Amino acid sequence: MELQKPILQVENLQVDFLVKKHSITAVSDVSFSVNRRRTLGIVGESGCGKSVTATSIMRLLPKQTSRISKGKILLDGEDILTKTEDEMRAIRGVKASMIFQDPLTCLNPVYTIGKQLCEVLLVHKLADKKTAVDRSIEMLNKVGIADAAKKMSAFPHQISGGMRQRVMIAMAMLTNPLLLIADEPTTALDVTIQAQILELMEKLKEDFDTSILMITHDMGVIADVADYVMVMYAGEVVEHGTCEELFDNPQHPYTVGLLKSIPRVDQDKEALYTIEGMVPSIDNMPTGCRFANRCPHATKRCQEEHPGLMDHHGHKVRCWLFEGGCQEEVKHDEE
Amino acid sequence: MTDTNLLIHKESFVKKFVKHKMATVAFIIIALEVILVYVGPLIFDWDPYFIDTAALGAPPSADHILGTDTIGRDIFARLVYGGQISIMVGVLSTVVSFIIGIPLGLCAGYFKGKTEILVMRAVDIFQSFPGMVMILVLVAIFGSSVLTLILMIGVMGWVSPAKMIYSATLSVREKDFVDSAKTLGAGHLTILVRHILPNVVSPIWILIAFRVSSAMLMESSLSFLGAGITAPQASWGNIINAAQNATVLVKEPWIWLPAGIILFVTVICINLIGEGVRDALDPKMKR
Amino acid sequence: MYVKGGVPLPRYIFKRILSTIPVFLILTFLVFVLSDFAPGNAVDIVASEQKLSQEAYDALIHQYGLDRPLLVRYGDWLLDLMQGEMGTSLRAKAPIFDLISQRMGPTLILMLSGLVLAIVIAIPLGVAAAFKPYSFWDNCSSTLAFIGNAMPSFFLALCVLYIFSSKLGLLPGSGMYSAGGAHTFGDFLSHLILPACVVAFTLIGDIVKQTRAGLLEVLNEDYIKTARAKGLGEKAVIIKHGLRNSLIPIITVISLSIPYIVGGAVVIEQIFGWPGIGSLMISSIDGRDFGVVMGVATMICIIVMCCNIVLDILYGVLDPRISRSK
Repeated sequence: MELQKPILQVENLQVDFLVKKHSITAVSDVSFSVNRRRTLGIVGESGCGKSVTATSIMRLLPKQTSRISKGKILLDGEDILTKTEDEMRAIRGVKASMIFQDPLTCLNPVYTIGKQLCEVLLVHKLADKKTAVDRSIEMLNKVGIADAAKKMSAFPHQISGGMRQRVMIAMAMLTNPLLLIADEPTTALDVTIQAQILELMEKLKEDFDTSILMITHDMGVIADVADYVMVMYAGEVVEHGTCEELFDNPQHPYTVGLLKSIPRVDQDKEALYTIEGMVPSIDNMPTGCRFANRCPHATKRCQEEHPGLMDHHGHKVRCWLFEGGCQEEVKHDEE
Repeated sequence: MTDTNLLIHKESFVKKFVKHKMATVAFIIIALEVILVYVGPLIFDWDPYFIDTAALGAPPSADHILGTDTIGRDIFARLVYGGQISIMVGVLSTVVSFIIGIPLGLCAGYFKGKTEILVMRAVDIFQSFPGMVMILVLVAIFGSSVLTLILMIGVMGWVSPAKMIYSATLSVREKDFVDSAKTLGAGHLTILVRHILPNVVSPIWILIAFRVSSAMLMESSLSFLGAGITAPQASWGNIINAAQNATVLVKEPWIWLPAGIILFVTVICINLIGEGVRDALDPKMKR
Repeated sequence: MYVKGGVPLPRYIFKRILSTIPVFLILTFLVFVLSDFAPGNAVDIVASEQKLSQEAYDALIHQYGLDRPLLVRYGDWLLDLMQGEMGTSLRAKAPIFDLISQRMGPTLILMLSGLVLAIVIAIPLGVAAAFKPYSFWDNCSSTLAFIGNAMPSFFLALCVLYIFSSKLGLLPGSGMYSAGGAHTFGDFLSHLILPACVVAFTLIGDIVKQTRAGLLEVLNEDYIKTARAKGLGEKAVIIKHGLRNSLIPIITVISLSIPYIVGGAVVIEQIFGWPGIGSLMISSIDGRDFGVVMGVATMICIIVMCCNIVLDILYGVLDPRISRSK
């Protein structure tokens, strides 16, 4: 079925950073795929490697200090790690687009919205100047900007934050990309505007037949938009499954912790759950499970042996507790 | 939180400064130069005014190691004595700049309001007019001596210390210890001198070298134009002045070339020392 | 049309011009007060020629209005200035305004060509340095910047004159045209090269430093990430998005260096015998012709102001956040 063909396939991705001439592994053994018109959410605390993973797909990691040392990234069936820089340039912004956290700093302050929108089409020679303007206006209308023709001549500082993110989305969708990578697209926005932006992205996904890779630290955002969820911790995937599975039956103690730390209206403020302890530092990873020092269920084995990603009917978990399959008690005994 | 008082550990400052190898070399060169220029004449018999009528515009020889100028004075002796004046003008006019600039910058940053506007307007005015031209006009009217030159160059140089102190004061005045001093009933002067000044001096250390070198450049340019130190007194600038004569420029380069090279090397060395001090004091520059 | 829009630029320009007027008034007033101290006013000259009695001297002082309050005389002087009236030169026996306006062109040409040369050399050097920090090119350009800052311009001018004009005989070293020759453009250009290079060299250091530092800072901005994610080539990213944004602080550096260019031009004109207002000033100081000295100082004031206004306008054009509000 056409729907099942993966747009993006990442296999065993490993990214190394060069710090003071030492090579440090920032992301290791990350595999996932995104199907057409599906949304994969990647969650985790800051520094867990989710942005690095996303940036690797665009091959936009700083060349001097980082290296994709292992793995494969297939975008629309083509391995992008074997592409030359020129070939990559033709892919960025066309087959895969990316939007970022803070729409104010992401738009160039000295150019008008219109100029920045048209640039995408012009640089890839997808339109001449006049059609570029027309298509940009049309796109601005689609992302819900009223008075689009007039807004084309506005500078970024002249419009509101929510509108800026809409412009960013318009810019990303102009070329009708196969994949939209959204790196914390709602974090810098007000809650009400957050919801609007997420709704807009959902709508565009349907209209444009696009797949979305949504990176966030916010479980609420994931619950809203994701079809699949991948939880990352300290540079590794710790749990990966469908959105329903993950929310209804989380397996990894870290995922459980994340879900419990979502503030809820019916909950006492003081009882807000926090995961004790700190993420291990990137250059000093423990030999055993990376979450062991914060895990309420850690055993001696967890401290010594590094668990692999265990698969149970498509629900993957990196935890010794999961060895024999789903454990309902993990969820219950916290309640 | 940024620690503005960076000179607490003197040893560590010296250690950090020595790490900047070029700055260390520059420091040694300047130290040797100062010794040569100020101590040398006490030991040796170098006379910058003696006219050797037998050697007018003579090239370097055993008698005059760097030759003589057009009226037969020894170039080396003039370089040494010129160095005394040039270095002195550079250092003292920097002192003058700081004496004017530091209080103005402090007051502008601390009192704000009218004082701030007034001082910053003055900064604008001084910044938008060439100090060199202003001094030329002053010299044209009042004439020049070493003292007036020091004062004029010093006055023209007040802007950069004032601006630096001003911005440092702005950030320090909001700190808690200023408020607590106020609640204890300390007067403005006490707060300024005892509490704020010690916390804003470190950028001053960085600025010293750069001010000295630019004052020396200013002095030498003026002396070169005949509007600074004038003969018979020697300065590096007025030694080079001789090269305005085409014959001297082309046929007797030993007269002007050494003074220019020494001036250039001195300025480079002082700027390098400045960079060394900056790197040692400014933690942001550390790698 | 979508290109034009926002709050109109002309209003911003008008505001900038208005704000420079007080600075101009204060500076010219200072110059005027100084000129009051200068020996040799019009009456003194008549007096020295005719041996006047005290009464006749006082009468003349009154006739020339020299006994009126300083501010009133400043007002008159200012009105005269606006009509291009600056008095008469003692030496040249010609209107000072004419003397100065003849010399303005050469000075402006020298300053501007030096400035343009500096920008044309320094910005690519700075970009190359920022493109690969701590590389060979970066070290070269920062060394050059360092030397440019420490080199006394008059000494550089002499060295250049000595090497290229006297020893190698490649370029003429004095005046604006060859003596007795036809005033051709080629001849003019060959005379311009050396002094313009010296003017440029003293500026290059600061511009290179600012270009490098500013560009490195801008390249860390998020919109550079966006530009790369759009699929722009590295060159387009650096020039269109990086350099374009770092031009604003470069303009600041240039506007702060305008007074230095003018001051330096005085020395450089003197050495190269360039017939500008700088060499006019030096010869007038030597000849104790104070009227001309004051006139030149006023003119320099005006030049600096105009340069700053132009650069301020450039600011507004380059940075829409300054000229167009929400």
